[in-house]
Amino acid sequence: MIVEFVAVAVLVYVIAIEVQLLAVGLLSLRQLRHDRYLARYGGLDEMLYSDTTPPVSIVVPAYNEQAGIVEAVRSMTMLRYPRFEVIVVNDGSKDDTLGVLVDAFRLIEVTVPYRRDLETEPIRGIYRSTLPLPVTVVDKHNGGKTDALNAGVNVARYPYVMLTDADVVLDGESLLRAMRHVVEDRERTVAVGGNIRPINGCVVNRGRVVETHLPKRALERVQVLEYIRSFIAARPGWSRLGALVLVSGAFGIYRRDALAEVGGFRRGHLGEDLDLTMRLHRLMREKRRPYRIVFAADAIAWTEVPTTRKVLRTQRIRWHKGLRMVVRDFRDVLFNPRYGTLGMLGWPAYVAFEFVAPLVEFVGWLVIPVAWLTGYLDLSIAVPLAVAAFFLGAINSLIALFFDEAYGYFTSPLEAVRLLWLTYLENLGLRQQTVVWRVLAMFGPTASSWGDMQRRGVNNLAS
Amino acid sequence: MNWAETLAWVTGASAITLSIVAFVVKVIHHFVLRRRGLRRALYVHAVGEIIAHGAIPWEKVSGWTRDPVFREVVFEYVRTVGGKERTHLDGLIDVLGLREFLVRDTRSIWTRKRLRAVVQLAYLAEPALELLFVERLRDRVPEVRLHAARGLARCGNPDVVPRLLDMTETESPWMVARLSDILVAFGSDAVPYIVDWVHATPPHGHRPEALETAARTLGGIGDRSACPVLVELLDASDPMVRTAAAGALGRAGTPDAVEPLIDALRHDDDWRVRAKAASSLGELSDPRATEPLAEALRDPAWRVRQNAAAALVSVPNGIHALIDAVAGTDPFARDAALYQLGISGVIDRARRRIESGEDDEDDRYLLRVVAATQPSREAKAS
Repeated sequence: MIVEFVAVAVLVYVIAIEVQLLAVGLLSLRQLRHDRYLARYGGLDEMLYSDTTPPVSIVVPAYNEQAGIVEAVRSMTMLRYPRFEVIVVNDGSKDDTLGVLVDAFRLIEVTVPYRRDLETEPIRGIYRSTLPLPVTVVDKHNGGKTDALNAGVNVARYPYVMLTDADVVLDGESLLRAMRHVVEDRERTVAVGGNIRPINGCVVNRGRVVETHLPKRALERVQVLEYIRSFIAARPGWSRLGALVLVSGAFGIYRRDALAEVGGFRRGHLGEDLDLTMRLHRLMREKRRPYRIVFAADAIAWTEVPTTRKVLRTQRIRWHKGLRMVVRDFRDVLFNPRYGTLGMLGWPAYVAFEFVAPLVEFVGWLVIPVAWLTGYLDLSIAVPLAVAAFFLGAINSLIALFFDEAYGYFTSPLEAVRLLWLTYLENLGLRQQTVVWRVLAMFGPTASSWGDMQRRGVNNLAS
Repeated sequence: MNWAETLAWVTGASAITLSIVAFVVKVIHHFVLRRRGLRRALYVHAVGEIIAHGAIPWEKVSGWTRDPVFREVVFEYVRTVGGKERTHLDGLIDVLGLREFLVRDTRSIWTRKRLRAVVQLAYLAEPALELLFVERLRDRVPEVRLHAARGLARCGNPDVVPRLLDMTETESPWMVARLSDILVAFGSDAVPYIVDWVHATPPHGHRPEALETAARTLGGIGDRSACPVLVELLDASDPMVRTAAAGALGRAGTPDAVEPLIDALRHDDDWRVRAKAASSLGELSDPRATEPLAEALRDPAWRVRQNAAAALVSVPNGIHALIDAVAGTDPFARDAALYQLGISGVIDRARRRIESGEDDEDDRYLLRVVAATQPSREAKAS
């Protein structure tokens, strides 16, 4: 009886996931088509010369980034955007991050009072470039990534701040494309999320991605597929519904006054970007202000994804622990009609299918051997269901790949075959491995740090 | 076959079918893109040859007209070439009947076709097409309306300015922003039309967004004949209109605008208006503004203090007012003044002059008052 109940519950759950994915996928498709159309005919280029384009402060936290920080900042200064500044926050690096920046951009220390809208660790100095480049460097005591981001927001001069990472490579027009959403509705837009893609396997030249290829290792390729599923097939749809739960920390644009009002990032939070997005939703809903948080699918930022199982494990456990913290803090949003589509659809779906899903899958694996040993397992039902689950996993990825075709990043037929093969392969062990990590994260302690992501550097990723 | 087996078969068949379709789509897309790239290269070369030599190999090019890639290439050349080459290009467009072809397409029921045609015709910027563009201003698709407006701006006839301003009464914020840029492209010729449009109040009054666009456009054009109407708009009821007018007066203002701007800086309820008024007073660099700007350093809104401090750098005796504010007791004024003296490099220049022995009393006084606000920092520097 219990086994039957569990089997039916799991089946209902799987069907719910599929219906959700399909519905959101269809909305995403509409949004992607609309974005492409506007990018082509909407007069995006005119934003470059327009007085109506708001200026943006780009905040880049840096901790021990001596190897790649200069190139990263240089590529950011070459963005196609009329008016912006790049603020690098050196978060008490132990290496010579500050020194290389001083040399490369001929920085001089300037006397600038520090606006303490957000509490941070003390500032040691603020530097400005003497070259005709809008680069500011804030040198501060170590306080973690969130603290560094808050310090950058304090120094930001412009009404919109873009928060990104030092290892992120931005497409030349990404900022322009993301800010289109702000110009469309300046009064209501408080945050815009960008589309993150793995840079592994791509060829980078002078801070720009010039050739896109699949990475060679299966572990990295699976992550390419995961990012496509999340950023192409899901977020545009949720954004269209007004229920976008997450603006990614690698590329997020926020209205500065809203960031200051919400208190910036919470120090030491493991899911700082998710937490911030949810707090913005809460602030706006509680103050009954009309607002929107949107996703810009055509604003692309490239980031390095873990290349080893160990680093991937650490990253996934950290992400899921962060999610756990946010789920705990925002449980009142669940099915709360005051939060509109977010409370009734977006957040429940995120909790049910992102947070709980690994546990359900894990319980399913435990039930199968128990049921088999106790003679409750009906193989004529269990085996076909397992086969169906395997193919459903592949179908989700295939739909996402169809949507991704619009961007034309992997045009070679050989890479197409590899990606298609991967949609099946990832369901034979790699996905299950992630499930185990996430279940571990649900019960482990939560502690924070910058993490120990080992990077090869954006210029060495094609190998 | 039980229900679970049926489900497995259905999902399996769907997945495999999707995989095959996805592969076929990928391959087709790959070859379509390649073919398109090759065609494009061929057209770029051929059109380049034609406009360089003026000879049109009719038998070759006659079949290309219907290819959208060819038309794209031709109109890319329209955007980039001039002089004799443009004459040859116009010859090619005439011979191939491209203009007539596109005019026909502007009435197509297919949005993309209509849109592409209007985009390309807008590049021709021919007065003969004005009526067509005016007609397309009523198109149901906003992007078609936008490119028709752009075509009209390229034709350069300012008679259409009121029509475009009327559009700002109903369009979305994005379209209004783009229309504002388009209106700026008309230049000074548009100013009398905009002024008349502002004065000609419709039965229900102008929409605030439309008046804001008009003010911003006048600022973008920067023609001083717009100053009186912008001063009038400083009294508008909507704060965004007043903000836009205050901002525009920085570029289109005359000395007559200084007093109204000072009045807005001192008395307007909305901080955005006061902030813009402060910036504009800085741009006008009038000595009458020094005292009100120094007072604005104590404004409750930080943006006003920041803009007032930035403006003081540009007005006569403004630096002295900033230094006085740093030495004063008002913490708001001190922060704003210190910030501006810092980012404008005044403090660092004074410090370097002291280090090189080329300093004067003002430099020493400045560093003394700065040191008083940041003792640890200056101690570190010394």
